[in-house]
Amino acid sequence: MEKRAVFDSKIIPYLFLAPQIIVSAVFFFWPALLAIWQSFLKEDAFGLSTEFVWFDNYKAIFHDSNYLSSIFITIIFSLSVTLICLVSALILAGLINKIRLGKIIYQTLIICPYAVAPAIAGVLWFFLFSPSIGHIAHLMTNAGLNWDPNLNENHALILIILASSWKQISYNFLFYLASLQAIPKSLIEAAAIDGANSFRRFTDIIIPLISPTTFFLFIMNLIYTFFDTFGIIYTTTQGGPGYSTTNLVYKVYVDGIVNLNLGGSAAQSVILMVFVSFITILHFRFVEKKVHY
Amino acid sequence: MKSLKLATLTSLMAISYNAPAFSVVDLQFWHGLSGQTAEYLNDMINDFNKSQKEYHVTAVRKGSYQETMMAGIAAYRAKKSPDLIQVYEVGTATMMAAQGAIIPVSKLMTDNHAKLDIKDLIPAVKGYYSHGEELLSYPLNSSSPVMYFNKSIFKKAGLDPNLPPKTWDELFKYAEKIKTSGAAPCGFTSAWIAWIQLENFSAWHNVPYASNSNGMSSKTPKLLFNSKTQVSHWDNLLKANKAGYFTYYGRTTEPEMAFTTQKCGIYFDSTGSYGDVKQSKIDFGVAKLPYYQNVPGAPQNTIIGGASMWVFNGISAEKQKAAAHFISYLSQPEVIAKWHTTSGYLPISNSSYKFLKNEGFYKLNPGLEVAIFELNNKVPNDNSKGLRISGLPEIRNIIEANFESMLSGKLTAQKALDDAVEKGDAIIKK
Repeated sequence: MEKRAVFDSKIIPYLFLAPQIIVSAVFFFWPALLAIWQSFLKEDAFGLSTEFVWFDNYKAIFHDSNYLSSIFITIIFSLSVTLICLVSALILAGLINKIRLGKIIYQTLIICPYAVAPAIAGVLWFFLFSPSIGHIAHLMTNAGLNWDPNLNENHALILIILASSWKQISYNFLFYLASLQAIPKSLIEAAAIDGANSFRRFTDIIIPLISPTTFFLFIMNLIYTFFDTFGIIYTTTQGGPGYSTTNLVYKVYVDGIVNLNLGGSAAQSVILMVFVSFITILHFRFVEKKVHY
Repeated sequence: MKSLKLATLTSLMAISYNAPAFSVVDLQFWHGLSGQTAEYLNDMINDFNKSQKEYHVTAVRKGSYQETMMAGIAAYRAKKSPDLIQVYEVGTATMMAAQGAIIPVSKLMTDNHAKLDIKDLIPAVKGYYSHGEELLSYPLNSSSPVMYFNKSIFKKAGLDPNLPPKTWDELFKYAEKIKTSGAAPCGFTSAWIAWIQLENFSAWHNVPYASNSNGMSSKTPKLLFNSKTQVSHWDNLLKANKAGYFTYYGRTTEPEMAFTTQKCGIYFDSTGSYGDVKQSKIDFGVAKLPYYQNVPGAPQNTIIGGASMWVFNGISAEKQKAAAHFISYLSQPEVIAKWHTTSGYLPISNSSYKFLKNEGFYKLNPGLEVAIFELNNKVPNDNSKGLRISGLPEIRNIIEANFESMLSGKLTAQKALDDAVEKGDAIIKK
């Protein structure tokens, strides 16, 4: 007997998909198309005079030395945050997975930061690390470290990397914990009986089994660092000192909102969009083959 | 996103709660004030609403100055602009360039036979927001930079707390003494580097910031803030920073925190922070900005900051009339005086200033009078009327970034200012 339910209707699948498609169209495709259109325009802030300038905005971007440096900053920033998030979330998930007592409490504590808005997270870290009133900054100064994110570029970069990671670890943690719990106990036990020590069990069984999660999280973290970190930078370093913490998304904000250069800002966001799509496709094309489901 | 939702929600609530009777003309006013100052603004507007029955103003907070301006522009483009909007002073050139998008305030007043005594406005304020004889926007909240100093730190350092430094040479000596005596870890600090240590510094020393009367007489002025006076000042700041007497606390609110937590002996900021500083309960004084004695003509007068209120074009005749009466109400000496004494922003008219002086207000609050002395120090000239430069927010960002690069040793003072002039000129040309 056929156990699957079969629907003959040709319309129902589209109806089921419709809400998702409508939401994507309204909140993603339409604005994206507008951004592409705007990136070819040069206009004053009020839109009183508009001129179609072909690729002038794109040309201007690549003659802007700050843009090139912000690409470099974005790469360092994104890779650091992604790496920190993946490693620490995996360690935390591994630890939590082992304990029995008070699991819920630890879990909740680790998940908490995810509920915090990026701007709030930024303010929190700004206060802790501010040289004038920050407690941690005070401790570091007492320990002889000359901590000064207002003038030292590396310090500023470290500050936004830590603040951004802190917020995102929770997200990674949730997925890692779920995937660790999904690993059949029998597999680990069998390996243990065969004499595999915990390190071998980790590298040869656990890591391959959670690779789909890692793959998924890698993409999600990248998208997070590319698009969602603006609030943190806005509240901690404002892109400074100099331009040392101005990453691509922050530059889009500054050029669009502060400098009212709408065409240039639109062109930058189009490039950003293409860049992330490209990485995602690349990843699905090549890395996914190494992922075992 | 969340905050946006919240903002719309609260504004919707504000509209429904204050829903006026049917025939009343309702004005939407978008602003960028926050915290206690926003409360004072609401008080002022509520007073207006209660004072008559024909009009009703609804104030909607739209975030920071930048966000408010952006929201206003976006709304205008979507043909859903509010009736009134507050725009920070650096956005003035952008608003002026948008001819057709706004109604000049003086035209609005004459068209609607509403009273506004433009001659009564403080010259520095009037000059900033006027084009020729025409007042373009209503100077709702104007401020100017002043020097705050901590009296108890002065005492600890063996300095006279009633004699704040008058010149920069004195200031550097004072700062050195504060630091070396151990009275405080930081001699002096400054908020808003681009606004205070360059724009106002230039006006105060009677040197041009840009050509064509700082942009007042041309739309494409050339930047001139890399002359000897400014470069040597920045070089002095760099030296003081290296020696440890001057501490830089970033572009946000940290300088204020450093001062109110008694880390710094001296601090430069807007009069608008007077309320905050006072709330911290430290023993402080307010003094005029220092100047270099060897610069001829110094001190001249300071220029204003803060924001002004613009009326959008295309609103109905009824609403225009309401806006005119609202502005007329706001310009009354008692209303200005109350706003000044609560928020710390300047009393923008001579009559309101006189009104307070006669009441003996400044005997009890001498700190609030300092900025007025600075603005009226001399009759504003081409170098000190104010700046009218398109792209000024962007230029300020470049200046601040270059200042940081200078302090971190990447650029010399000369190079930092030359580079800012070069990049700034390119922005103005666009």
